[in-house]
Amino acid sequence: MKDLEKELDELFRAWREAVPGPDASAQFMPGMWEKIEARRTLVFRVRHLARAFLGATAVLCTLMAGVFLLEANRPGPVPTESYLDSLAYAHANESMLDAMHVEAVEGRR
Amino acid sequence: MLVDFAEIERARSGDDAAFGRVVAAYRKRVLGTIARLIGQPDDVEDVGQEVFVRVYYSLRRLRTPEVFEPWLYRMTVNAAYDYLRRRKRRAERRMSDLSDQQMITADASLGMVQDVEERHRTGVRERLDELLTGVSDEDRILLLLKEVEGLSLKELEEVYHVNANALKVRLFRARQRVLKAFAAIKRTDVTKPV
Repeated sequence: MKDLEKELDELFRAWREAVPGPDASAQFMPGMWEKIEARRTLVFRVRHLARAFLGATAVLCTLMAGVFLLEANRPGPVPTESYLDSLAYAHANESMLDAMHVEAVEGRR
Repeated sequence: MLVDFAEIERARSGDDAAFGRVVAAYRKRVLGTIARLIGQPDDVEDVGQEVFVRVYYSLRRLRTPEVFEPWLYRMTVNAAYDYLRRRKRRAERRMSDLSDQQMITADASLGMVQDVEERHRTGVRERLDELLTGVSDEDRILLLLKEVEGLSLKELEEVYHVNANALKVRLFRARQRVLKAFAAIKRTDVTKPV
């Protein structure tokens, strides 16, 4: 096993020599700066779009809040009848039913 | 360190000329690491550029110039992972497009173009690649950083942000797997009829 370990280490070393670090071509630096610029433009566009979206969302929220506040503050219908009138109107049907019930019991006797 | 801390600090504060000097100092090392990690000479420069583009946009997040080198290794390793993942997907697509005859023809034409030295290199690379097929991409890269790039456990700890004991265990297991594969290949070589 020890020999195998040594052989493996040797293979790793041979591999390192077989794959040396390549020299960068003349196009390396210009190509890198081009990519940096391209990404900067992309980042700028995304940021611009995000800002526009944020602005539009803020305007929409403000408009919705305005509409909601207007609706909430609009005065409701003014009552024209008194409390007693309202009560009588609400219980008008009940008293009629009571009267019919009494009549029916008396008739059976 | 291949450049002084002040240069990295200048690059970090947005000095493009300083950044250019940092790239010039480190590009050979980075390209060498990438070449060994991805094993595709044609794509090394492209991945190297990607590493430095990422460095450019992340440099402000670097805590202190003292940790620049492990941080750069981390960026390099991540870019290599991304490349390997992309390549795996591409290869799966391409292989499914080629017929067996096309594959044989492609292999043969590749063989003719390579000279003797290149064949030797390819042989060593293929042998190690064969050994490393039994380990995951993550363990393969970890093993290469340790055994080929010569990073110490302390440096690996800084690259991976994982404690040394966990790394030791991972490295040991990966190495054992490679050794097992090595032993199997050796046995096959011995029993192979001449």
